[in-house]
Amino acid sequence: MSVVTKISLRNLIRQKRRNILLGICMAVSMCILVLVFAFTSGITDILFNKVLVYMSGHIRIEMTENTNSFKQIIRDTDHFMRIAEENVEGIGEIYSEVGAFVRCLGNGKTTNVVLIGMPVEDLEDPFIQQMKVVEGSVEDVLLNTEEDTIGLFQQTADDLNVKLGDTVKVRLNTFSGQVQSAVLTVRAIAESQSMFMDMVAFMREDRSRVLLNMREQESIGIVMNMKNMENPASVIEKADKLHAALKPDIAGITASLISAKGEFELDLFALKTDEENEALYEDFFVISAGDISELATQETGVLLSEQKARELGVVPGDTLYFRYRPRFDETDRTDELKVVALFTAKSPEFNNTAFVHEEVFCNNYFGYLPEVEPAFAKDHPLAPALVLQYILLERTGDSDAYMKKYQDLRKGEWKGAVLDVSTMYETASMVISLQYVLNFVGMAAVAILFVVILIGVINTLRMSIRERTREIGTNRAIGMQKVDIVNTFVSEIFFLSLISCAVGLVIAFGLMQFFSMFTFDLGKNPLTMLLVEGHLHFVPRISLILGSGFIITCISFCIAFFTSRKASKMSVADALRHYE
Amino acid sequence: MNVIELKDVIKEYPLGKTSVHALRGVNLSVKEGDFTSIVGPSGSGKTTLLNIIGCIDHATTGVVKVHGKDVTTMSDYSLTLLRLHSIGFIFQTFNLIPVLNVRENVEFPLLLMKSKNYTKKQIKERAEKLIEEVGLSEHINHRPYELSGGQRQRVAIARALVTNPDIVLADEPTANLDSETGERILSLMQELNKIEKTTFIFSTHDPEILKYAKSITKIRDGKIVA
Ligand SMILES: Nc1ncnc2c1ncn2[C@@H]1O[C@H](COP(=O)(O)OP(=O)(O)OP(=O)(O)O)[C@@H](O)[C@H]1O
Ligand SMILES: [Mg+2]
Repeated sequence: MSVVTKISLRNLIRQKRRNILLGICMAVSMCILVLVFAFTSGITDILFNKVLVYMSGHIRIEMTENTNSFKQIIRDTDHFMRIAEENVEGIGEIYSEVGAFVRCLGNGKTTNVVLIGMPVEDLEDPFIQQMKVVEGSVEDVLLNTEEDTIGLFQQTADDLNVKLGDTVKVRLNTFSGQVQSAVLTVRAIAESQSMFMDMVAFMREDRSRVLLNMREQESIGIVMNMKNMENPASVIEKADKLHAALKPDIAGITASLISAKGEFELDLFALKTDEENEALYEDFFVISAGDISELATQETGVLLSEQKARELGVVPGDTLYFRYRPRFDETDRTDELKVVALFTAKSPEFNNTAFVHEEVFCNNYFGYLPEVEPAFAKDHPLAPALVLQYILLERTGDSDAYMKKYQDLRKGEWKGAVLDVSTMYETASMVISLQYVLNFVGMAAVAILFVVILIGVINTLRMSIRERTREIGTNRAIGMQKVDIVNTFVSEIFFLSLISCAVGLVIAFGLMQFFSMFTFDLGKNPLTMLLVEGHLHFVPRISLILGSGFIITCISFCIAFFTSRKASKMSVADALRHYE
Repeated sequence: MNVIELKDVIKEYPLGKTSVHALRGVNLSVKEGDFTSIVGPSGSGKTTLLNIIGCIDHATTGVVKVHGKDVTTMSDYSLTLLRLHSIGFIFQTFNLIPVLNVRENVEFPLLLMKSKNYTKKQIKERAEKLIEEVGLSEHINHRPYELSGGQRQRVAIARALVTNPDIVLADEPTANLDSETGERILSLMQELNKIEKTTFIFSTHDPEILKYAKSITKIRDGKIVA
């Protein structure tokens, strides 16, 4: 051990009282820092890894059809699920949602709930695992094949005035627009844990599909939750990447065209007959018969090649049919077409292609996706004139932009599908801003405490240095360099802050243990959601603990450095003459 | 051979708008191996003069040579090294390091020598030898607060001599001691001056201990007299 270290350590012990005070000062700040950081991380953890997971999920894929009536539905869930799995890293869970907002009638009382369909195999699901069922059981709801059952949270059960074994009537508008209702028996009542969960009611997924009139492959959204998310903002980047991977292709149907003369396989695409598109297709085909402008008004209109028309034996004005096998249905899909014009293709590839009016195409395509979908190069010059599989909405950063995006969409006439990738920053901004506020309050408290503590450290150090001015003078006279004077003080404070931080850390952990012992009952106060089963939730992250220690050590180091450097610069004679 | 040479040294302390003339043109030379005393009444400039000789204060004007080298232009770093290697200090108030024991206090200057002139063993032996010479072997592990004033000053003497300096400066080394102890300290210094051949310069206003000095420099109002 060098003599400088030895002197530092012994001085530390010599000026016991002051150093203990200073040490307490630093230990308290360490303790407060760790507590505040652990608390805010705890809140973040609850909000992002618990509340948001059940509220909105971290990232969602949603699809809407018919922007006027705003039907939320994903027709080919597996397809998008696969893309999501391939393009988003760190997914903890991914699932599709089946559910709807329904009106619930109990014993003389009504309320609205989010009715979700839960797959039977979900009994292992964390949502169910952490649910505290107080009456009945989840199994009674999900495994019951004899009757239609429902599980409620206590709050909803109270609101509806129903008990276990009672029935409730649910009413909803199905996807296709009819009013549907069902009578369900309450077979589970779970303890309310957060106000977001209270709104949820659950039933068997297969039954809910019948009730909601949704097919097997259909869902209302795909939800992704990240594994142990420490950096919430990272989902934005992930959502952006997913968004990029979801660029739609040209929508097409490989169908049979049927006329009196026969049946021929063709690729159907929907042509947008705006004037600006006219210039586009003029490069590829020449209208040889009929009037293409009719395609704009004739909702079942089709544009055929001369060659195909000849084979089919049709001329403009004639009616024919198309038929295709949908991806998810056993029965073929057939619809009527009216020939409006014929073209001679400038390149032979278009001889087997027919262009139909948007209306007839969308009516079939979106509800009944074709089993065989022809490819059409996205970068083909004609591509902008054709209808896409869906419109991919631009990514938005916050809930305002998100809402505006959908408002703008409502103004449009688009009948087809709209796909959107959103994150909790858009769909649950309220929760996120709550986190910002809490973080801000925490940081402000820390900042204020810090100034107080800083002044304490500075004063103590200056006092200590003033008292030891003559000692500094002696050491300098004997032959100690300025830098060693600084080293003595700096290492003294460094040791002290190390010890203090360790002590503060231990105290902080003790306090966390202590605080989380209490159970808070806040009743219906929304702040309940910031508790885990009524307990405060602390997440002391290593990085934040090290950071806190670093901040304290750094600050005391700097103060010690600058104060002692000033002292070391004093003239030796002056320092020796110094009397307190 | 002169170890110390002062030529026309003036020291002024600024005091508000005026200044205090502590030294008014001092010329002084001290020979190697001398055992000299600077005497004068209080406020005559003894401390100021010793501080300038010991390179812990700067002369306002004039030339100060230690070992023939002009120190007025040297950097703080080199002056510190010069003090460490060539000058030993004995203070009126002893100024031991309270957190170090006798052995450590004496070893301290040697430990500051970064150039590793000495091995650990040599440092230990050298310190023990000097502690023995000042008669404190029994107290080698005691802290300063456990020692009497005379014992503390003996530790300070050992510390001043441990680096084998060319000059030892002592500013009223006996002022805080009773006269008997003071005389013992002086005779110890005298003895070490003989053994180690070190130049001693000490200031005093006590005529009783002047008899130990080989030569005497009288100072009055910042000027050398006779
Ligand atoms: N830092 C200072 N600032 C202003 N004046 C000073 C300073 N140090 C010393 N003096 C003045 O310089 C003069 C000489 O002081 P110095 O301490 O050298 O006297 P001294 O001979 O050592 O006296 P004493 O025997 O009392 O110790 C005195 O008049 C003193 O007031
Ligand atoms: Mg004096």
